[in-house]
Amino acid sequence: MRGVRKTFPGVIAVDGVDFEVSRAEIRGLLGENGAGKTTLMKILYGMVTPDSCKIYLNGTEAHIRSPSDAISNQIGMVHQHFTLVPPLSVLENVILGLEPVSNGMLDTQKALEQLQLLCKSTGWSMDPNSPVEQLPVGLQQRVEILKALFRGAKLLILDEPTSVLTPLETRELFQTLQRLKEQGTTVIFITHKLNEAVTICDRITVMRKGKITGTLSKAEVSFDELARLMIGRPIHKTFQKNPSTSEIILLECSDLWVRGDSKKDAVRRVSLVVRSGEIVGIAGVEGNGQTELVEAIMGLRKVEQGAVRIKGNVRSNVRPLDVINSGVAHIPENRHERGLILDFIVSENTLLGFQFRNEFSTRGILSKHSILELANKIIRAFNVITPSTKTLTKNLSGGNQQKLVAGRELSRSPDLIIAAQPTRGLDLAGTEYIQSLLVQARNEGKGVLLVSADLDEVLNLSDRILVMYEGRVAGELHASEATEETIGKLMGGVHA
Amino acid sequence: MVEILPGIFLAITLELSIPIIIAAMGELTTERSGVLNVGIEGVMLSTSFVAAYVHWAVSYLPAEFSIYVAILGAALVGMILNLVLAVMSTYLRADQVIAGIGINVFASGFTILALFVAFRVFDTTPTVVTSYSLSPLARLPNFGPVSPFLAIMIAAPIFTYWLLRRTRFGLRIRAVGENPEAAEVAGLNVYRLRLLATALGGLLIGLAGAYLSVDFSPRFVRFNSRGLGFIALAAVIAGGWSPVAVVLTGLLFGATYAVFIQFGGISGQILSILPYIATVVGMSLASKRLRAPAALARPYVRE
Repeated sequence: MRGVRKTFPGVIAVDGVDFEVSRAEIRGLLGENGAGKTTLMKILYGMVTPDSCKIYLNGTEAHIRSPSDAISNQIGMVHQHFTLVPPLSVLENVILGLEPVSNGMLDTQKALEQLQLLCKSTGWSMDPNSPVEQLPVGLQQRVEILKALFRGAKLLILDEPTSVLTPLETRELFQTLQRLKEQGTTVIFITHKLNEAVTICDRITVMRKGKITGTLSKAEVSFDELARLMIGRPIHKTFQKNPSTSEIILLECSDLWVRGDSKKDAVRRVSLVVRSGEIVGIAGVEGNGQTELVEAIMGLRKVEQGAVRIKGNVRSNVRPLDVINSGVAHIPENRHERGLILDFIVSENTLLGFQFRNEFSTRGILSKHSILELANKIIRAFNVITPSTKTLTKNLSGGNQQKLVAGRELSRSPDLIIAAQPTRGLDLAGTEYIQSLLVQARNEGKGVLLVSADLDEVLNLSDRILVMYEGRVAGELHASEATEETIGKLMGGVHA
Repeated sequence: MVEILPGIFLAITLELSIPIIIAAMGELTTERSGVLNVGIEGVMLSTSFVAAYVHWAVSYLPAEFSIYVAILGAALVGMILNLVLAVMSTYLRADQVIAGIGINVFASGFTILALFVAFRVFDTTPTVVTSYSLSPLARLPNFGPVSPFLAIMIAAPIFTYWLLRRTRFGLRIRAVGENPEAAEVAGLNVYRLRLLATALGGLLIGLAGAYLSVDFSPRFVRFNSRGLGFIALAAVIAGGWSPVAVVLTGLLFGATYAVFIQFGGISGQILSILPYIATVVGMSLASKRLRAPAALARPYVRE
């Protein structure tokens, strides 16, 4: 790819990049969110029309204007958000758009044979008839990869493939990628995780702010060098924490049972305690009951059995407002769904959860002045970068949206903070900031329950770590005894 | 108390199930592609008029031709009306519910106006010769009059099932109805597939409309679709978008109609709300356990 340039209104996403990759290579594309990695690859896959770009494949110029052009040039891409059709079966998803037919009807037999061949080359076994919505995300990802291979991909682009995987699944994926490479497939691996890039890639290209800041081969990489290329300065990984000694129990869940959306038990006999001045981390692959646990604590989901106590008072099955008024702040897992109203302006979003307070309305009429004052206070205190308080919230970047949510919640001056996936989708700088807020709250004597699928985050911040697997607490570890290894095993259901 | 005669009860049930099931199959195909056709009632009403009008306009032809020309005309107009809705809800990105309501309002006004313009009347067209008297089955001894629409009622669900489950076109319809973004990435043309599925659905709805004015009653009267289009819409939902269950639901709705028709009189008037109650109950039961095509009524915007 030569001279790639793409501007979106107000931003230069990719700024004059030259990028090349050789056959049968695993190439890492490393960078922060918004560095332009994904945009660059979407241009190669024909999903984004560049302002300027020339693409050469095997030395000849190729014109790629749509995904189907890319597919016919043997380029396949697995997106961060899967592009599967949930109720359709594995087989149907794989063949969609390129279905073998005989006499106008689907040739299921032929499709099955082709799928089996692909499974052999990747070393996976899959049930072709199970609907993909019933598969765990790790397997869904395999369906995505099979789909690309079915289309004859010789160049496979994977966009942040490990963000949904357990450490074990990640290792298995890496094995498969090696295998594909040996069979002559080229892999471009987009990631923001340094250690993964170093593990799997032959060469690593680092991008920052739309430009390539360096390409290093496996032999010459170092973490410090990569981090410097990525964010322009070294990262500080550790936080200043004073020892936690308090015995004041802020949150106590005892033998909690909660049902999930499908009426099955999602949380099974979970007991946990959060004391003042500590961060309790809950690790686990998503979908193992963490979401339901948090919703039950916040009064958003019915507690079937057991009790939630906040500062000693039973607070299970009460209104969410009662939970909030007991001094609990909630940074919800899905900020777009539960944290913000995206079509509201910034000052309306900062008001959420405060709207009952008298200072913001008189007899049902909103008082503009105090609402603006609150919005400005939060924006200033938490570095929310927004053109104005009247900007629609959906126009803020993900990092600033999250700062807005975190800022709003923390300015309730809570005693207990429930933070669910607080740094999901944020870049390193944003992650660092949100994490520092949580540590700061802890150091001020607040209790933090941190639910995160990001193992590094849990390990870095927590004083104690609980691992959830299939709705149960699979293990509880003190921060000093927890390693990626031990937690990884518990996350995958292996008893340590 | 009026005695219920099993034979007549069955006949009325079938008579009313025919338009519900045929139209529901048309709606099902449309909805599985992600297009919600709330205008089904209006399409049925319009095509019902078209069938009667065409039959009258070509009455110089021999009866066995004119009736089929009338039915084909209705099917064609059904396709065209559905295509209008499909174009609005794909390329023009209109709200599908509002577009559908538009078709309903248009149809109720248009058919009354057309009645007046064409026939100088406000209530009813001249009688159409009923189709089953032309059906080859009717000539079989001891078989009685059998409508060819009964054959369509049986064939439509089988065809729909086969189409959705066994053909490439059907797989693609389901894909664009569940996740158009994924379908697009897989190289499918979302808008074109939705257009084709909706047109095919319109053909069936047009047949159901034709049935109402050439067979069910041999003329077109004002508001000839009698809410049956909405019932078909409800049957699709209550049947959980599965052809087999939709047929059973359609039969159930037909049977509740038959009950009130048999009773007649005042109690009949009261019982006439039965199908609607059945619809409401069926739908509220269904909505708890059933899942609509994920992209239903959601306009798809290309990136």
